[in-house]
Amino acid sequence: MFYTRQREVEALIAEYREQAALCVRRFHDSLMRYCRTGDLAQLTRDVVEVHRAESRADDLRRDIETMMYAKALFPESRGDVLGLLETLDTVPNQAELAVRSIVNQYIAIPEPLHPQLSELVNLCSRCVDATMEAVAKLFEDFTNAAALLGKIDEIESRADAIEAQLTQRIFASGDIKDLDKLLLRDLVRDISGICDMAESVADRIRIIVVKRVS
Amino acid sequence: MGALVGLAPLSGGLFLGWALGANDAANVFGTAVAARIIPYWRAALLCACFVVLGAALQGAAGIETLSAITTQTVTTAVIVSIASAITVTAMTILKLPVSTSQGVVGAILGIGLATDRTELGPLLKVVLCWIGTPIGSLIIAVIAYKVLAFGFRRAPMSMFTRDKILWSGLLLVGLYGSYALGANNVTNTVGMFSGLLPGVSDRLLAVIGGLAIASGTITFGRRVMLRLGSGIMRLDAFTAFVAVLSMSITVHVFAIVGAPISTTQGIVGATLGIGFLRGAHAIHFNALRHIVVGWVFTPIMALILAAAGYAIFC
Repeated sequence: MFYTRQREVEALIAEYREQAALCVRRFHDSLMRYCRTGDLAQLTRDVVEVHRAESRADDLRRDIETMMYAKALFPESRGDVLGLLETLDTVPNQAELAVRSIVNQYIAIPEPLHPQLSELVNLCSRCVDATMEAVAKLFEDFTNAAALLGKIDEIESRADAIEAQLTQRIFASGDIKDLDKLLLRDLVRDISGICDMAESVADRIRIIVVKRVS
Repeated sequence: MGALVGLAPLSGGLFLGWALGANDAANVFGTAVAARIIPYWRAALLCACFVVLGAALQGAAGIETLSAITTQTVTTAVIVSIASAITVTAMTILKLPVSTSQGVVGAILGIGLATDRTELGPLLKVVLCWIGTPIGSLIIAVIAYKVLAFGFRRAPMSMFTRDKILWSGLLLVGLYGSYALGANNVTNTVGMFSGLLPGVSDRLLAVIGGLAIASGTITFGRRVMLRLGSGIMRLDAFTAFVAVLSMSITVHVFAIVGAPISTTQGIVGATLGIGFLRGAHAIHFNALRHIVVGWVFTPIMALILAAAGYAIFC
């Protein structure tokens, strides 16, 4: 019984990781396309896909939590996995929030900002990939999971730097209206928030590993 | 019917066995049950089976040692069992950790002093083993913790595989601990009746005592298991595994030697060993003081009660 529940939880977490990563990939692809084309109608259609992946990830998280409350795993692992999922779930949520804010607020991204914004989106995608890899490591060889955490921290720091540069460029620009500046600043903050969430997941992983190796 | 009447003096010992089973099963399966790693009923039934097995296969050696401390009559054996049972109950009410073996040996010593027939050799052996139990368990725990932690915490595995290994380990050491509990502690419950009941060999006596311990585990073990442990420090699955393993090895070794000891002392020693390795801050010293007080007063109270019982009834 104990082994069966563990296997079921493990399979569901793997599926959850795939959905969360898919959500962030769709976020990445849709934003890159929007930067290239500026096609808001297409982005509106893309948001539906991002939401679908996020929603599926939410369903999986609830299934895992239900299974956990049905006494799967050791209590210490149960608490750790529930905490990890709760933090991990903020990543796809944040990705959906970022693309949805463009659609809902009709935000146009000025061309001079495209290179740096694309770089920020790429960094988010890389950061989430590294995070998902670290989460996967917990269920393959948890002693090695910590090795990936440095990479996540590094990407997050780079994303913070680009966020700051972009914010300065937005407010330094004479071509952007004041209201648009505020909207763009919030958008940049929302996108960069994905890396912040990923870093929070990395902190959780660090605690999980330290608890088991010290 | 006649055979049952012949076994009537055993009732005090059976009651003691029941109380021991209710209390001491927590030392082997308490952590796993309280943490809901192993369901109570599965733990209780497995524990009961292995207690009887341990008592039947290796329980007789301790009975010989206990009966060598002083010669008993049926009346003094009944006094010993009742004095021990009252001591165990009183200590439980006072919420002091109780060692049945100390109660029984204290009561036997009380009878020995009253009749002036105490054999100091076997008594010294038992007392030395009492001192040796927490120390031996502590040393084994320190070694086991160092060795197992080195390998276990560095081996490449998923956190779920780690849980599986710990689950299996807790189950196995629980079974081993139950076996050692039966082999060692059955002496405390019926050892004083050795050679006093016609047609009842030490082996049969051990089986009857084992069944009494098993009945205590099944009928009343749940509360104690869920209340859990000594309270000296918080144990996780890995440290609980090391503690139960060290306690089981110690208790089993003393069962082979033929010295009735306490699983509580064993688990306390093992937990202390782990506590010292993890830093003294992990140890709750108030709980430790409580335990030491229980260890000192249990044999003294049983001794006084048994001597008084002898003065009144013999």
